[in-house]
Amino acid sequence: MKNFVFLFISIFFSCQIYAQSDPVTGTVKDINNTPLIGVNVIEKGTNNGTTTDFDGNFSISLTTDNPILEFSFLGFISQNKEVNAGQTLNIVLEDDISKLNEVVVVGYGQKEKGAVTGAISSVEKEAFEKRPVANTFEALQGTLPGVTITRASGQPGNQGYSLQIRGYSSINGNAPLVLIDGIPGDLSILNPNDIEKVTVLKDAAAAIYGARAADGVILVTTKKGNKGKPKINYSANFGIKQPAYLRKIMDTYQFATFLDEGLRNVGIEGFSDEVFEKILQNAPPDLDQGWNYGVTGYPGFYGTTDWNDEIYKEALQQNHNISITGGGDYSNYLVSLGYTKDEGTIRYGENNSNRYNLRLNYDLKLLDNLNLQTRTNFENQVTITPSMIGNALTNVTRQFPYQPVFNQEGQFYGYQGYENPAQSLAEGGERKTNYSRFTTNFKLDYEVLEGLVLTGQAAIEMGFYADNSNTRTFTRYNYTGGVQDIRNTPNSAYYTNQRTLKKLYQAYLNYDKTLWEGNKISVTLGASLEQNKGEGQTTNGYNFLSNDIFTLNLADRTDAAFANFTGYKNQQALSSYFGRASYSYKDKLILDVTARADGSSKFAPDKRYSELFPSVAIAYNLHKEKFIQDLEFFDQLKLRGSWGKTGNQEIGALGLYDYIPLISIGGNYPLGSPNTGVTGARANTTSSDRTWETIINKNVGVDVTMLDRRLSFSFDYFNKTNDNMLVNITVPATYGGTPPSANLGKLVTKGFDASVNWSDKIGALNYDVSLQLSDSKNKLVELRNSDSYGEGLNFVREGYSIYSYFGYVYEGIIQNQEQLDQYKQLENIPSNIGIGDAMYKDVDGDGSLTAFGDQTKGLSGDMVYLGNLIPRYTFSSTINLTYKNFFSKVFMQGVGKRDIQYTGAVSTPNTFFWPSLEYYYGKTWSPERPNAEYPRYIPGSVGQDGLRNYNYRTSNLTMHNAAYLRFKVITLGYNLPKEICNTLQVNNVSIYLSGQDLFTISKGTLGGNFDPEDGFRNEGTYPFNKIYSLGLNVNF
Amino acid sequence: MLTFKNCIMKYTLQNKLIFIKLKKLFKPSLLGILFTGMLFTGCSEELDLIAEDNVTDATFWQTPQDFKLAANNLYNGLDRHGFDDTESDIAFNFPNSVSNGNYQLSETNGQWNSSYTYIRDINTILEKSEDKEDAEILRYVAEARFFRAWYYWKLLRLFGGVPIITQSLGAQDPDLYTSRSSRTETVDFILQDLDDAVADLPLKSELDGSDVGRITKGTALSLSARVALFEGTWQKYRNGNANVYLDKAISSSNQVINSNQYALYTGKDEESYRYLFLQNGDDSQETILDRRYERNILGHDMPYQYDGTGYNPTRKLADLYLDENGIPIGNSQSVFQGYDTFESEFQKRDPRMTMTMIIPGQETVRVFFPNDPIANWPDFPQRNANTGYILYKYMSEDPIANNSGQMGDASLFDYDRHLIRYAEVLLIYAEATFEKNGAISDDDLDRTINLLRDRVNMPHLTNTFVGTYNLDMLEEIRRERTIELALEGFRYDDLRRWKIAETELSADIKGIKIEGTEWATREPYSLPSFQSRVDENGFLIVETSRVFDPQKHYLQPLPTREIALYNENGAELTQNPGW
Repeated sequence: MKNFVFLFISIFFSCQIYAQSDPVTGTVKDINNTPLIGVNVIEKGTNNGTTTDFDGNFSISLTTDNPILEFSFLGFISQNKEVNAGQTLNIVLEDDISKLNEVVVVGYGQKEKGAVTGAISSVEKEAFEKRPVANTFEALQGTLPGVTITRASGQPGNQGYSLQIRGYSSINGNAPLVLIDGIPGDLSILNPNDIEKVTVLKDAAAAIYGARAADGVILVTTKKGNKGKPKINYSANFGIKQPAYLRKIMDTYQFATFLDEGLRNVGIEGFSDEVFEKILQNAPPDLDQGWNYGVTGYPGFYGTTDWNDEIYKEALQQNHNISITGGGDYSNYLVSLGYTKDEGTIRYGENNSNRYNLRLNYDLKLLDNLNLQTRTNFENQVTITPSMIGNALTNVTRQFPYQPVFNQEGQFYGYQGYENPAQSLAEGGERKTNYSRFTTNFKLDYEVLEGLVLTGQAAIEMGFYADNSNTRTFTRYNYTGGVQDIRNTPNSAYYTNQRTLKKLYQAYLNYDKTLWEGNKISVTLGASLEQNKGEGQTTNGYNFLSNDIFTLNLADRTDAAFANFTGYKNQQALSSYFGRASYSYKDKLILDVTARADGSSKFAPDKRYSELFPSVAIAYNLHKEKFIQDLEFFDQLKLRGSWGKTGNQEIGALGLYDYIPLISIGGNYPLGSPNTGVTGARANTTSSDRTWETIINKNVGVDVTMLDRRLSFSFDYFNKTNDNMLVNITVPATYGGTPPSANLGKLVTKGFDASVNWSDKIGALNYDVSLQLSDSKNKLVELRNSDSYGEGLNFVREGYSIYSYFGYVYEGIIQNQEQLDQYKQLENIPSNIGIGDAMYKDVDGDGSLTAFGDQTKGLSGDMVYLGNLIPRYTFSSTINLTYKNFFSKVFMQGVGKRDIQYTGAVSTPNTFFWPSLEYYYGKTWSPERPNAEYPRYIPGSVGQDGLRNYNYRTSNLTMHNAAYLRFKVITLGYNLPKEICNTLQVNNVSIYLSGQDLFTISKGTLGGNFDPEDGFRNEGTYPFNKIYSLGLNVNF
Repeated sequence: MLTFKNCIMKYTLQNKLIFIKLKKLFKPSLLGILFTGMLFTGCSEELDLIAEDNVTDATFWQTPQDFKLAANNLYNGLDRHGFDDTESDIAFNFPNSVSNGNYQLSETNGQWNSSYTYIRDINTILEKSEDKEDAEILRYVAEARFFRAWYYWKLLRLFGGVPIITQSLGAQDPDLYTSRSSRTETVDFILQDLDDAVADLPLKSELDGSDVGRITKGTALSLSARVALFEGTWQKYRNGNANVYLDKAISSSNQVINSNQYALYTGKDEESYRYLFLQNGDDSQETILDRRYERNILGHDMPYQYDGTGYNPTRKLADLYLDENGIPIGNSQSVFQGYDTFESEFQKRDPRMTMTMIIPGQETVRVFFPNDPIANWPDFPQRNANTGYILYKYMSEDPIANNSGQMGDASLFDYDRHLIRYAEVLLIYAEATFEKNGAISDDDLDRTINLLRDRVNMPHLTNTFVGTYNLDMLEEIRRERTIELALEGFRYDDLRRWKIAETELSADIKGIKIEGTEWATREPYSLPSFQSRVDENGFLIVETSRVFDPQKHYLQPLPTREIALYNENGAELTQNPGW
């Protein structure tokens, strides 16, 4: 922090002031007389330039004789004006209709948006500026229609983000290809502040990336410098994180009442009145005698501890970014530094993540027709976590509410052997991961002759990953201070080091030519080679001399059992040829044809090269037809259609050399005296005829802009068919293992993406509202498996969507003896079932409650489809408002439908030795609560687990719809008035308050105990946060 | 030939030179040709990569070390500690569907799958060794044969005859749909593999230190004796061809005894029986085959599981123990002390009783109480009080492990599970001899059962003693087997091969006497929920309404998915009767 202040101050004061005389001043407006903000004003042939302010005003001092000023602004036709010193100008810029929108990045090149034929969406840097974003996934979540980003945890540096475009295209992995400035990469530790633009290729437009494009392609373009004097931008954001959706456990009184009733339900004596009285009086502990069932040998306590308060706290996160940009006629540059610190919300143990980003984007014009572009960056993320965090967080909800955190001596108290999460976090050791990545990327463009550009590109990425963790021995004490036991004996540590090296070489040629009036062609041809290598080692050490120092030289080497190390080494390569031909007729009809062939080292030599991945796409700009123009209604009306084949070779189940029979060595069976762990060898099953999965991707879309371009609308419908999905073929168990998978499965995914945008102004209030809605659903048409499924969540079942739930049809609670007698006619229900228990429907009517039917007798079993875990109808909305110097942004995001069954011990009324969620208090059936939502409470582990599990089988009762609407971002900001900026000698300053995830509307959260965004759905998830932040943006 | 990478680097270099120095001399068209040429320069050799951290099948299978590695893999399937006897009438934790007859058809079966998985690995080893003559290689091939017998035995005991697969088959091979062999064919196949294995295996005393725990001649012979006794008695009580198997059981067990490789563990004097099942018994002279554990290599957490879930002895087991004079407790001359107090039924009994169960109130160290002994009661520190008996066998006294927490394989308990121990071989010899001949000599009793009696200072079993107290020799041999091997997973098989399961398994499971004894005053047994569940003699009824259908339950059902798969391919996998 201190360093940062110093940096800030030094930059602040080193900012130079150019004082000159007789400036040219003026205003730039559009044809509607609206001032244009941010128009570039440059004195031609010099580095001298400025931009217009919020009122469209500019002021520039001239440096040459016969000066010419160039006014340029995206979407408008540039204007040149000869000027004289001291002159005042009123400039009106005209819309550039042909450049209705910006240029769009497509595979190996870029296109004007009007010429785009595919389903392509993009988002600009403004979407994630001025809000507290800790990483790129968070920044992109909800901003691109059809792109689903989910997170699994709130743990700093380990949020478990996953990225998907248009749902599933395979059961074997669905990772979109991410290209950062043309080079395969990943978004995890990329600095979001360095991003200029993100473009997503969702349909056959991705086919030019061939074998890895099945799940779409994400193209990230980083910022670059602009011609002009150095500009410095500093932005900072400080946030307070508040853990949200913590599991609320019953207090001691509720716990005692609830368990008392549960015990009586199963014929066990409950607690005496004295116990309740003592709880109400918050009586001092009884050290020799406990009151709770099953642990009467342990001390009895009567107070209440809120373990959420004890374990979780508020924490800080902060971001700082400084960038310097500038350039001249022959070069331009961007230097960017970023720092993000994200602190964990646990009270004990060290938990934080620090990310450092450094980027240098330097472009050189070597000759008039020869440009070199360099992109170099270094990224580093260091994460520190208590090594027992998984254990500890799972145990937070498992603490008795009456149990104190500390014993009477002030030592951590584990309730005679229960795991105290505070102690596990504080004393159990620490894990540190350190991921560094160095990437550099050189691209040379040579315009051989007009319209013909040759491009050569070479890139290298080096990754270093270190994961060091130690597990410390610690002592647990009983309540009076005696030693209860010692945990983690012997102490241990592991050291993992991994190195990756990725290389990419590619070359391609682009040729654009107008054949004759209105007939343009464009051809791209190229080839690329990628080579990836990885290796790593893990060494374990045990019984370290000291419990504080865990370097391996202090590990115990006297015991053969303590020799434990592993390593790996791998490499793979992909060689590709690709091409595209486009034809445009008067900018009305555009036809794109692409093709790509890939060779992968993963397949048998004769299966190595894929067949050609082809695609065809067509766009029809109807608004260029006279009959549409005559309507004077549409600014843009465009129809698009595409068809293409893409491949999927990034399949988890597919090893690097599965076509060669390999021997796998593994296991650790102790043999000998003294024992040594010996490995064993197995011959793997192999297949030489497997190859890529091929996905046929179809898309139709329409883009509409109207009402003077205030309203725009876009809609796409798609259908993805994976026709040769790798699936496990079913053979009898006599085969003795899992046979190699074969390209025999079929998955069909359908859906749509839609977006609407409205922007206008009312007086001085400018506003902009956008809405996005996407959906995809899939069906496993062919799985080559017999009908195998289980109760609860199933990853795959033929005829259903991925991640479907199956279970029973809940028919309410048995209310009286008559109902009980009648229900007991059904076979295969617990013999001890009673009034207050659940009833399920005998779906197949065979008089027995059975999961699976005997198909030879035509019985289907009693389990039915209960829903699907995949989020449906994902939507988001952004509202931007600016009023004079104020600006505001509201970003909402959500899911329209998602079926969830929560898992883990707290998801149902719990065992006697773990407390239950307060949510269930008063919600279970009893004679006094006949209309209760849940069956009577049968505590776990008191000998009636069969009945307890029966009551909470997967059924309509345990399924929830976790649809939600979340206010992701609410920002209110203020741009300092120009006079103040002038006084401060800066270009502009904005400050803002921003909140993230402040409000959520959702019903299916089990009473607010589970975050609807939580991918794990169980009690051990690291809490997500609400973030309140203060931000600052300064331009020098 | 230039690789693609070099092409580009060279090209990039040339680029600069050409454009900067020779720009005007160079014709763009020439460049185009160069470029196109470069694009189509083959890159396929860049894709010919080899595995750098893996051995291939083509280079493996050469040396004895290779075959040893392959054989090592087979040990991983050996049974871990478990709750096996809850499938019978001598142990209980929760109602067990195998034990109470509620077992349902299931789509798949773990034992079925894992046995055939190891059988595939074994068949691969046998195929790869076909042309090998090296004695060391043949030893590991013999280990593989032993394991093939072992894994087929695991199938035989549950299902009867099964498909016999002797090759590693391809995914399309029609032999995958091999129909079931008969019961006899399966047994004979197992015994043949064991006979073949014995020849090439070493004696236990010939094992190098680093090979302790590997399969020996004795291991193969002992399994042969076990399988032969199982089948011999199974046939005898079903009017089958018993004698050939009983003879085999006698000869195999006799070879083990005469090999002088084994002895009972007596290292802890009168407490040797209990310590045999803790670290002290690991690698002892009594062990013939162990599922092995070692701290920091592969541990287990069974004491936690036994405390939490429970592995409680039942009234049936408690009453089987003789009194200290070798007389059954129901006999009028017995010194049995009755049930009146917490401790009384444990007094003056076969010492193995109080080494298998903890006397209520007795103080021992336990998990969570590693240093200072704590008084044991049925509900504390163990949690499952449903029979009222407290497990002592397997309860570790290791303070470090008792301290370490429940962490699965990473836990610190490391006492081995004895899968075949010498005591069983002695019991097989005695039982097979009696079943074959209808009699057993005192000499044979002295070299078998009485060795077990000696270890725990119990009077000898003799023909005279049996006569004096009007006992039944077969019943006494079976009793000896049941109490010696209690909670080691033999009872379910024994009940079925003796064909007494329909009477024994359908009987109620009972616990301690809680009516008219000290227990009636102690929670939780004093509570109505327990007091309402007693039989006419005041014994706690733990589970009632148990069934065992002799037409059906002697064999378990084959997994239905396998049957369906056979059907789909025009083959048949016959289901067991009644299912």
